[in-house]
Amino acid sequence: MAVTATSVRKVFAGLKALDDVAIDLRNGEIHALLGANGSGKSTLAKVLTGVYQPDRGEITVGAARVGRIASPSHANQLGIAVVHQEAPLIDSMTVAEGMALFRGYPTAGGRVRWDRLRDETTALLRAFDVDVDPDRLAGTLSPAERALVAMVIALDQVKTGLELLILDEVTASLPEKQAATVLDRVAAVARAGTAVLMVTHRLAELQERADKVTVLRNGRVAHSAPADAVDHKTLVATMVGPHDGLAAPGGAAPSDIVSRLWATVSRSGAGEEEQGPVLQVRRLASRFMRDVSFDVRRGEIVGVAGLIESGVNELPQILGGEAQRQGGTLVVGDHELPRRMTPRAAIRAGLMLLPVDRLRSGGIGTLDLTENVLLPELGGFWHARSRERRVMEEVIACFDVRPPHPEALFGRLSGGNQQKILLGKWLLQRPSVLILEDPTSGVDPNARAKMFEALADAARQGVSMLFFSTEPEQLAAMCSRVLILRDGVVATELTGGDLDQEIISQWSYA
Amino acid sequence: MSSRETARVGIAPNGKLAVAAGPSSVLRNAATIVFTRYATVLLLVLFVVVFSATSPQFLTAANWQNLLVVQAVVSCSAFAAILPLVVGEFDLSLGNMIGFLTMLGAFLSGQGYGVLTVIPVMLVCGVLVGLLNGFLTVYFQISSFIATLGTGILLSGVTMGLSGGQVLFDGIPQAILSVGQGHFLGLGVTVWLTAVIAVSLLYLLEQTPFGRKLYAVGGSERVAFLAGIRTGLLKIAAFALAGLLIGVGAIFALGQNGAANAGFGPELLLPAYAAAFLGVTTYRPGYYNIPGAVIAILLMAVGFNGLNLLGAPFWVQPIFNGTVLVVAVICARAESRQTK
Repeated sequence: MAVTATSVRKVFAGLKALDDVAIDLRNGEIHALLGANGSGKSTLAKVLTGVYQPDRGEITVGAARVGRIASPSHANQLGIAVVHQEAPLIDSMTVAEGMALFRGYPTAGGRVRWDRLRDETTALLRAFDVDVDPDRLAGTLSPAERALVAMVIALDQVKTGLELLILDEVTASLPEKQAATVLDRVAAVARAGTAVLMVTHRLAELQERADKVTVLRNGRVAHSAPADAVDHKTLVATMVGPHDGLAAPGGAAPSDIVSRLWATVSRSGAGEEEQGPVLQVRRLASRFMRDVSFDVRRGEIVGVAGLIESGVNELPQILGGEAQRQGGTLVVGDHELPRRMTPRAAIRAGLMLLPVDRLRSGGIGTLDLTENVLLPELGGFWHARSRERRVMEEVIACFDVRPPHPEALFGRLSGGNQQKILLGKWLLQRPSVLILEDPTSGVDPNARAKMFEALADAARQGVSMLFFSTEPEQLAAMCSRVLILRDGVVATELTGGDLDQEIISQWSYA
Repeated sequence: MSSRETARVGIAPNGKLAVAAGPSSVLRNAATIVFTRYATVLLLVLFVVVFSATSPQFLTAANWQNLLVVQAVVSCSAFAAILPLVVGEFDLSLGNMIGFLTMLGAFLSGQGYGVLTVIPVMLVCGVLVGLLNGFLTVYFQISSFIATLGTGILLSGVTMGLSGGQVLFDGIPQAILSVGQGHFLGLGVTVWLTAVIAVSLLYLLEQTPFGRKLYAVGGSERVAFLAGIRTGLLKIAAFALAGLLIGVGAIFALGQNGAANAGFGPELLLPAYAAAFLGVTTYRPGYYNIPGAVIAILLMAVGFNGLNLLGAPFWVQPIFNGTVLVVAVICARAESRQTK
């Protein structure tokens, strides 16, 4: 028995991230830890690696009862190695030097012994059967090679008595084939007698690799059994849990957020129903997309889901004008978008993107809320301070922004308030099609409710939306249909009775 | 200034504290704001008071006329430094550029060209060099630090070539000399013109969409680009405007000195940046701004002038300027940490 944890509880600000969780990791076994976002799987991994200390519970490593693991270096001493999603490598340095930052440089009289450094690194990589030239620059490594080198660094941190190797979503950003390479090497480590804990949300990876599976949901163990005891369908159902929580926006009282916003800038919903689709995407091709075609009608909310290599991450960037497509046509209304796109061209056509990366792509942290909201049309507010103030008062009131000061710095707001401001910024522009890229990631429940209220109202006013989300229950609640991307094409379109979080999960996780 | 600015200072981070606490701490907070945000202004006032008391020559019209007129060229250079800084870029060529444009003016004058040729050519060449800097930075995506270092070194060669190893003073048009050496209402014409430029730039940067977009690009080029702003074009415009200001500064310098010396220019680079950075602590803390730079220039000028009158040796000025810059920026950072 390598590592066990029992009755682990961890509370953050009154919320139970982990509640009475037990896990039993045995030598030579690969144990998969699954769960949706916010299920507590990262928290559990952090408890086992000494990043967090549990409020209650007991951890046993090998024969020793350690109670709690005090720090990451304590975890290393106990024989626990952890590999994170981001490899700790410096792109401009060679693999040997990058590893030397962890291992120390071999020196002679204060001078680095380059020959010995190379030999030692080669020997170490070979010991783990990783075929990477130590003289290569880390920046030239493939994602799989990076992950493997990261694993070697992690294993090397444990000097004696390796008990447990933890992979914290290591393959999440790897294409499937490269992930397989990494996982095969992990399997070899397990066969050598070490326990392996694999935190993941890719079910396909478990196939013939995982020996046991534990599923967390809302901080509790929802399932724990040998991997061959259940099929994927059951696992997904366990991850998602019974239908709960998110109130259907249709049920909420209709709000007038969007018309109030538009009134301040003298815009209004286009009254008459236009015929034909607002957005037509035809034979779109890019790095991952091969042939993606679909239409979006006026006022429709269309969900999009899929795995990383399906093209689901490229599509918003291409539609927003930030990335270029390799082929295909985009038509907004009657207007065909140029082959060489810019965000400016997309915005002019009415295609606007609310990006997932709030601080890097969404808002400017060092400027105030007014400047952030009016950024797309600063020219329209020249010498219109009172109009500017009216608009900001309305945005702040409509979205209940805290603190309610137009001159507050964007960077000092909470994630939820930042996102409400950014949604206000784009809704104010009266988009034809609003592209939402995981709009509620890192957003608190109150802000979520406010955002959904505004989105539902915008749809009623004729704004179409493409809703990209990794949370199937949101897609089920918000969208009239959901497109599933897979292998660069629209694999299926879920409508009507198929608009169910479990069915969406089946399609998007598989 | 505008209501926006006063609002920013009034409510800004300490505002919440002020509401929650009692009247004495309100006062203390207000005092802290004034002390940290307007420390350079207070220091300037303090200097004026101290020097007036200790040196009989300090508070005379003649002394202030000289003190201010010397700052006209420095101010133009500092303003030229600020524009690229606002969009997140550096222009290291401005020292050599002002030397080059001054020499170009003197050279053309020596060739017999009149004021109607010399002044436009100086200004247009300033804009062209700025456009080149912007173009290199934006289209080739090289660091503006390197691009402008390169153009600056290149220009220093052209300057030496134009000079032919001589100080050029022949045929400089009377109009340029009058601008440089004339007086209006007791102050040098260049001082008045610098004030007009400062006010125009303040308006441009803070009251027009163009200026606000420049600050947006400096805040996050990526976000500004995604909001549909033509970030590349704005950056080039900032460099070009900086070139134009350097052209104006070169006209002032040529008029004031009545001659062009191949060694002139590079020594303006560091004071220009010192003023721009020191200005960040004042008026609109955390942002490169014109009033802050003006205060910074006056502070350094008054400090030097007063110490000089009190008999301090010539090498005290750089020591004084360097100390003020570092201490002021440390104070401003300490304040921003407190309010986080």
